[in-house]
Amino acid sequence: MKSKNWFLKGVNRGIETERFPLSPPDEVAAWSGGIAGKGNANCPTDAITNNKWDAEKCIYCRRCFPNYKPTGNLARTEPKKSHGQFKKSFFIYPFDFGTCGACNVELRALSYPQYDLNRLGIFFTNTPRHADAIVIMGVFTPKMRDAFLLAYDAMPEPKTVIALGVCAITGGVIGKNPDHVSVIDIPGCPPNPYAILDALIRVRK
Amino acid sequence: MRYYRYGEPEGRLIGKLGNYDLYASVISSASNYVQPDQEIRSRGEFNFSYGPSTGGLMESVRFLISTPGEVINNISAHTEFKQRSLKIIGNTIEDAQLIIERLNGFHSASHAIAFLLSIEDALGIIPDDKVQAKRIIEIELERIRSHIYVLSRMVEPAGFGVPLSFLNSLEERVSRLIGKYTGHRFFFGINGINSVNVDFAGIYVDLLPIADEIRTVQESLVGSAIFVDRLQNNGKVRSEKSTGTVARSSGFHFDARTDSEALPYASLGFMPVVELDGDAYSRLIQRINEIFQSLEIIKKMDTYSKLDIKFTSKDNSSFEKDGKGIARVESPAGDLTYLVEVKDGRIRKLDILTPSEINFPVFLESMKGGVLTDFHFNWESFGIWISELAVSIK
Repeated sequence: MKSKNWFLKGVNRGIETERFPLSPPDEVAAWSGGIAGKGNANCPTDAITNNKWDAEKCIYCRRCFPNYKPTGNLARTEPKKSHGQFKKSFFIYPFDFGTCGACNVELRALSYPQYDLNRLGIFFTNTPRHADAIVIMGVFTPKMRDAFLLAYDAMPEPKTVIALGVCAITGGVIGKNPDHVSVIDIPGCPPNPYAILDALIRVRK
Repeated sequence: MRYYRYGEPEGRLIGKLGNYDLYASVISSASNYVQPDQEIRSRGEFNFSYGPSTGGLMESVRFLISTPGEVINNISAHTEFKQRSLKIIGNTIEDAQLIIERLNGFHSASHAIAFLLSIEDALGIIPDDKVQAKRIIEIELERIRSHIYVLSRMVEPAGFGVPLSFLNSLEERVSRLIGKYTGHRFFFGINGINSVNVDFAGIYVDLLPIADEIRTVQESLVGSAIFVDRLQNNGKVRSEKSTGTVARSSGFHFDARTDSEALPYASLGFMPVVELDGDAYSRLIQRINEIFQSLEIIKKMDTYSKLDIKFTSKDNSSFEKDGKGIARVESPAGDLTYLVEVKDGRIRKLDILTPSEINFPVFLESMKGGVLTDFHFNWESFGIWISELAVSIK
């Protein structure tokens, strides 16, 4: 990177974007994917009952360890509906109901060179008027409800809602989840960027 | 309380912590802290409402900007939109910690460690040296990532695509390193009372390539006259009521790593670096310098673990179930303090003073007289998290 020209610096650095989903994720933190095992779980959110793990409730506190261990697979849930019409172009609008900031950061990471969501026809938009999906994050907060309804009303049809993170899906340990009907829930506390990308790809199939 | 005593005001006033004024080593019930005026007083300008939900902001917050079109004559903010009410009082320490870790997820390690240090102070537990060393590594790793993140947020509004990608890539690599060593990209679930369930041995070697690249990005960023011009004299501020990078970039040597005994930075011979101008450019340079300082600290800690220097373990076989404790650490954003009261192993009272609370009024003040196009550069340079501000404990 000796050149003073930024364009050349970028070219010299080469391609960092990974081939996911065509190849497996490069590196996933152990406690952000699937969990399996049996026995006493000591789970504060009832994510494990009868030896069965529920991704939508798990906050990865590790109290279930060593009876339960990470599987190394991405945590995922199935889409409730397919949105094939967004296959070529999918604009998403992040909406922070009441987060701790971690979900915001992990969603933003999709634009980083390693993930580069644009190569898959997925884009962030700065306004709900251009959005196909609104991605809600965090627990329910009364003052953001009106903002959410305004944003949702401003979106053109067809449109959909995606819930990102345990707070938005079940409330986790922080509070109550926002009242919504989502097309897909992306579990995690916070969800790994690979898991978010995986869900956004699957909802368009 | 080992780190603090009640007394008359003395030394640096850090902020208001619950019903007390917090100084460097004293908490005082006398109130000398006056919240700066945040009200709009417009004189014919129109009020531009920015937020609470818009693409340019990471979190939900509404700014009301009074402007005739370009100059910002006044600015106020509503942070209550995403106000969270956290149920902590009455919880066990372990349950409370689950929530504390999620108070501000991006600075989760700092919050968890400050909380646990205050608990240990309350219960008369003296943490082991090895535990304290690992805590320092955690906070310094968090600082490196946080500073890279802020740098990238400052580059983004300039449309500076290539350096933005460089910085984003570096941040992701640090996140993956954290995930590799701790099992979680935000340090969740690894800290406990007098324990850190992680082996950081070898992490400095993994960080070295990242350090080299940060130096290259630094040389290129400060060599770009157009970018530097957006930052110099933008958001210029020099306030004794600021903390962290904001304070140190305006000549103040404020740093909990030197004036708080909660973590043993003194044994490392740590001295904060400072910049003098107090503008967004100084904050950028300050953050870059602090990244290298953090790397040096991690190097020392990593070396200690390799040399297998004997860390002393304290006798904590019997400790109290009740007590009151306070601890202050230097989070990536600045002074972070927890004041806690424990009764029968449960949280009876909790007050938190966060750096975002301290720096937010300073940011608003610094924005007056600036222009609208300066807003994002200045806002991002402060590294403020609304999740640290819009939160109440119940």
